Amino acid sequence: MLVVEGLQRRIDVLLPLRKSLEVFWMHVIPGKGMAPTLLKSLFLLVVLSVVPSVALADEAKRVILLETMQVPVVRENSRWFIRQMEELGYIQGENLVLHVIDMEGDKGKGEQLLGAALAAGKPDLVLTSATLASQTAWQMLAGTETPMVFFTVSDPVGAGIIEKAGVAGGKNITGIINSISPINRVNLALKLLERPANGKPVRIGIVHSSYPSSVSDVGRLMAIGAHHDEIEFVVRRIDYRRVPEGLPEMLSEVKQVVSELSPLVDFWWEPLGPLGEVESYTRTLLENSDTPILMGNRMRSVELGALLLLSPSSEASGREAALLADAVLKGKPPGEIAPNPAKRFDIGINLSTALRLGITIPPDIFKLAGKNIYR
Amino acid sequence: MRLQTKAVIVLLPMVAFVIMFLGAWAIQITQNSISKSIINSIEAELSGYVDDTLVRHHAILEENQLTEVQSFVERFQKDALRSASNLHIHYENAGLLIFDSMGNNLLGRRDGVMGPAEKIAWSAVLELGDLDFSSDGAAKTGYIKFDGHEEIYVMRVFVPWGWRVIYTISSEQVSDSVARIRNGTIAAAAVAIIVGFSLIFVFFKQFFLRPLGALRQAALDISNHTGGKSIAINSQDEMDDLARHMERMAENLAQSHAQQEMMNRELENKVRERTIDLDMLNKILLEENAIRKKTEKQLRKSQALLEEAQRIADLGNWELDLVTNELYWSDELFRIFGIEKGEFGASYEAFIEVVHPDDRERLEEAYALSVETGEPYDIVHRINRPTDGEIRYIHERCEQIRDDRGKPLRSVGTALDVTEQMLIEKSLRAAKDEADASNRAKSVFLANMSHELRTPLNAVIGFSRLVRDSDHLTEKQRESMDIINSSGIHLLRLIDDVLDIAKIEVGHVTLETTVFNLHQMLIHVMDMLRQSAEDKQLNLSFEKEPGLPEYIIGDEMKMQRILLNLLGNAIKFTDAGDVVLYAGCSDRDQDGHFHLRFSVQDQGRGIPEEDKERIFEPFVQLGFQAGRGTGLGLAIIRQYLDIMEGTITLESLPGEGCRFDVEIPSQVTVGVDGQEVDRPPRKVIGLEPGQPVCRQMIVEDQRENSLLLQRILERFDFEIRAVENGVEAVELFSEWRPDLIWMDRRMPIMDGLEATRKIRVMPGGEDVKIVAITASVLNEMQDEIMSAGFDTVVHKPYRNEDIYSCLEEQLGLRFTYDSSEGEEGEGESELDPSLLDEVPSSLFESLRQAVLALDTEKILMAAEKIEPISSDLATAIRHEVESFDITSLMKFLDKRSSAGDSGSRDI
Repeated sequence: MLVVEGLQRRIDVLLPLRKSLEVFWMHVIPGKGMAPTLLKSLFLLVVLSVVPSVALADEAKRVILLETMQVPVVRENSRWFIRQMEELGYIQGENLVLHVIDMEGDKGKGEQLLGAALAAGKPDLVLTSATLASQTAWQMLAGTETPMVFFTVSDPVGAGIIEKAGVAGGKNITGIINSISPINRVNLALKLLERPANGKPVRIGIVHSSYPSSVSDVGRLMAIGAHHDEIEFVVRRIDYRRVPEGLPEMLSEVKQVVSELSPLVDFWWEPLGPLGEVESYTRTLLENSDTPILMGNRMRSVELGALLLLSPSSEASGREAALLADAVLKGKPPGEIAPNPAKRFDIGINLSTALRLGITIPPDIFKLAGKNIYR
Repeated sequence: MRLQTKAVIVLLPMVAFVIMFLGAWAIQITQNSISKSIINSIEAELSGYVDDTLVRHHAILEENQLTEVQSFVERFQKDALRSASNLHIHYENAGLLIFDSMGNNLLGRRDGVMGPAEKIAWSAVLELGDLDFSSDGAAKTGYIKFDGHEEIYVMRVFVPWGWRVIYTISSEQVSDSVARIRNGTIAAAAVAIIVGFSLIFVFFKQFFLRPLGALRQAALDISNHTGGKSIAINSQDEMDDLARHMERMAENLAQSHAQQEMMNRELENKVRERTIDLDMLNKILLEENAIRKKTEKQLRKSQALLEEAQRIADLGNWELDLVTNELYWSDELFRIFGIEKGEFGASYEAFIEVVHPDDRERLEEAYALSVETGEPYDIVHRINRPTDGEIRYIHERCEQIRDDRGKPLRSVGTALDVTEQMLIEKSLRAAKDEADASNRAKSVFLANMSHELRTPLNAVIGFSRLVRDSDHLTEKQRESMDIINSSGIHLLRLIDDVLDIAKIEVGHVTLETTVFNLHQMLIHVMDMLRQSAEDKQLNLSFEKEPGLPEYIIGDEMKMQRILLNLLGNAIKFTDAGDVVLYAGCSDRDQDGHFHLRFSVQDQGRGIPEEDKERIFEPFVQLGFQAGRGTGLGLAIIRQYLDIMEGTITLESLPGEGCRFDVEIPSQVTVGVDGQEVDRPPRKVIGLEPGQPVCRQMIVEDQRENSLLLQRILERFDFEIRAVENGVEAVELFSEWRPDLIWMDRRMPIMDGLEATRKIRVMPGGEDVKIVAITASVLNEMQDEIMSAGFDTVVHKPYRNEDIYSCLEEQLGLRFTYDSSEGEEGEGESELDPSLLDEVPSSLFESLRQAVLALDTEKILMAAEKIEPISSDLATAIRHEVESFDITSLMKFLDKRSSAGDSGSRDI
């Protein structure tokens, strides 16, 4: 493992030299075929053995990024995170050695991979993306001196990662909360809806998994609904199964629940968590019932037909996580930085859905949606 | 009219007009600006609403293709009207109206009152016809009547929706603003007029009127001659400059006035001083005239005196004009030359004719050289007086007088008749030559006499010696022969005295110091004179003070001669009674210096007071001495004492005898241990058995001294090596490692002090014994020697015993001594008599004769001849001569004689 990692680091160092190497190969070892290829391989081996690993490590910051799984929001947030790091001057192989670990939704695997990475040497920072990765890492790093920054976590308090949002915790952890307060989403929805003529509340169905963030999100929505007579949440929970291999089984169960629940609700509300992240979930809702989706979980849901989306901006989450990482790498203790939500959010409107439902979108929502208006 | 009044009349209307004009102009400008500003402001507010709300709402509908969706359009218009009702309106009494394309009033606001237009009172009187409803979208501005009042309006038409948006404001609000400004402007203008005029007047008064008043007063003071005061203007401007100019003008006028008065006073003073000076000059001229007359009189008198003095001194003077060749002679010069004034040609050539022919060329050369070089000359020449033919000696001096460029002008000179002096000098020179010849004859006589006397005396001395050594003589005879011998020697010395006195006169006698036994010398002197005293039945006695040192450093020969002469004279001139020799000394200083004191007292006739000094002159014999001596004795004594820095005094009373007191500086001898030598050294005859063989190095640059030391040491089985300077000594020491070094102090290349210092720091240098050999007896020199690292010092001249004693002390050697020392052979030579066997008889006889004759030169000549035969013998003979021990040498030669008698091959 260490040898592989060392080789990886050498390659990382050589990446900036890639263009120079290509020029070298073109001019010094021209041609194709067996002999030039062997020469190039031999040259690469020599260079790799010559480049000393110590030249990399002493000055470069060693950062581990632990990702829960490769779902779109995680990928998108990580993409923006890396871009922001590059804009801050971090160059992989020169002053940054970023070791990305995909725990593939498996906590045990996450613990194993992260433990091996930590054993290879104390990192300067551990970043976690999504709730499961953050929980796994925090269980290993709590009480140590290794700083940790999380992002793509919708409810870090509920997940047991931090004690309170918006307040510096004094520990070796901080992060970017990846959620819009459920009350805000509810208010936005209410702004568009009109109470039915019979005076009954609008019924909104939610089919969610037992994934921690999903459970936490739904729990808070239900608490809000309990205080508003205009709406009523009708919730069904299915067991979470690890994605992607467990996804079809979960979707099958969702399909069954949707069929059962569709006559009882006016709209669907997509939950947070891995299940709500996948497109097939939205399609399952739309294809197995006539009930429109009031609140999608991601922009793709709006594109497919969901009336609304109010979610944290992936760009904002990724970039602000990078700013936090930069501050920590430059010496600021994470315990002095309060975990806060990302400062920007995304609103999406499906105008066709609105017209179909006879819903008039106010001008100010149009302005907030910007380009995220789909027909 | 005063300037102040004029200023008020001119300035006040001018200031009032300017300020009022400016005020009116400002009011008009301000009114227009305010109106325009208000219109621009409400235009901006109106445009903000239309562009930000209406245009943007419509754009959203368009972008999303909702312009035909009535629900969205209505919702957006509704939202726009809500925004208008919430729009902030800046001005009071302003209104906002929105009409649709049909003229329906959609919104009306006035002073915060909101509601449909028909419910608002003012809308009933709004004359819509006054509005321009053209729908080009641009802002329209104009006036309308509202409720009987004129109002300003600004209107924008939003074409997509056909909306007219109207913003109105009461024109009175504009007028009120303008009126407030106008009133304020008028009040400010009034204040400005008062303040401006006051400031201008104060300024005018301060900077113009007051300085003008000061200048006017200053001008009055100047005209009254009371100017010069400072003008109180300090404004640093043209007025200030004018004031300063006026002050300087006043000062200049005052100074000019003062100078004029001072010049008048000076002129008066000068006139008075000139008058006094003229009076003084007149007096001086009168006095000078009197002095001149007196001087002329004195000059004539001096001239007469000069001529008289020249006549008395036989001194004449002359002067030759080299340009005209005219020659001037003084009267005395004519007299000296024996020429009458009329007979002399009065030229240089005529003068030369008078000069003696033998001196003429010399004189002409001297004169020509003097004229050429300008140097004076001084010459004595002879002249032939033309009148009587007498030859006279003239001492002539001449000097040249030249002009500024060095050209000779005149020759001036004096001529002194020195004929008498020349004749005297000539006779004196002849007398001196005669005396010198006589003196030379005396010297020759004395030399001849001395030689003639020495020859028989040598025989007397030699044969008396031989007879004395005969075994057939009684003791009495032997003593008599000794007396004959010693008296002969003394007589020989007396002859030498005669020569010495001559030498003394020419300074050829020097001090010859040596170490000698004073007691023995005194006994010897007494022995020599005892027979003479007994012959005259005189009591000759010798008394010495306790503490008189036995061995001293001094010139023994001269001391002995002084005492012999004094005692001899005492015996000679005493008929009966006692002749006593007292010997004593003063206390010694730290270096052993002291004064020997001898007194010789007799009971003879005494010496008269007037003769006490004369008797010390050579060849002087007083009446009672006639025919009883050479007359040299006391003279030699005094000369010797002078050389020895001693003194002699005489006390005498006629008929009671006399006493001569002699005091001679002397010094006790110091041994190797620094102690006075109180006993004669014992004679070393050998080394005790079992003594080590020592290595000894001699460092001495004088070959003779080095050889002498070698001879002294070679008697024993020492290893001896000699070098000549300190460098060689250091080198030899490192190679040879001697046990003892005899180191001379003064040497070339490297002296003994430095060599000793170097040796002391070399390996083994601390253990070697180093003995300094020095001729110095000074204590400070001894300190320097010891501090250089020497172990001890031996002083020159040293004796054999000094060397042996030093070896005993430094190396612990033990010598054997001659037990018979003192019984016989005191001062006997240490030479081995067998050495004489090698000397040929003729050479031996020459040496013997030289010894008997006490002729040291011949003895040394004989030693040179002996050198090739036996260098040791020659060295020993030289040593004896240098040690003045001729007696030992005689005894040594006698041994050869005795050996010869017993069967020598030569005799």
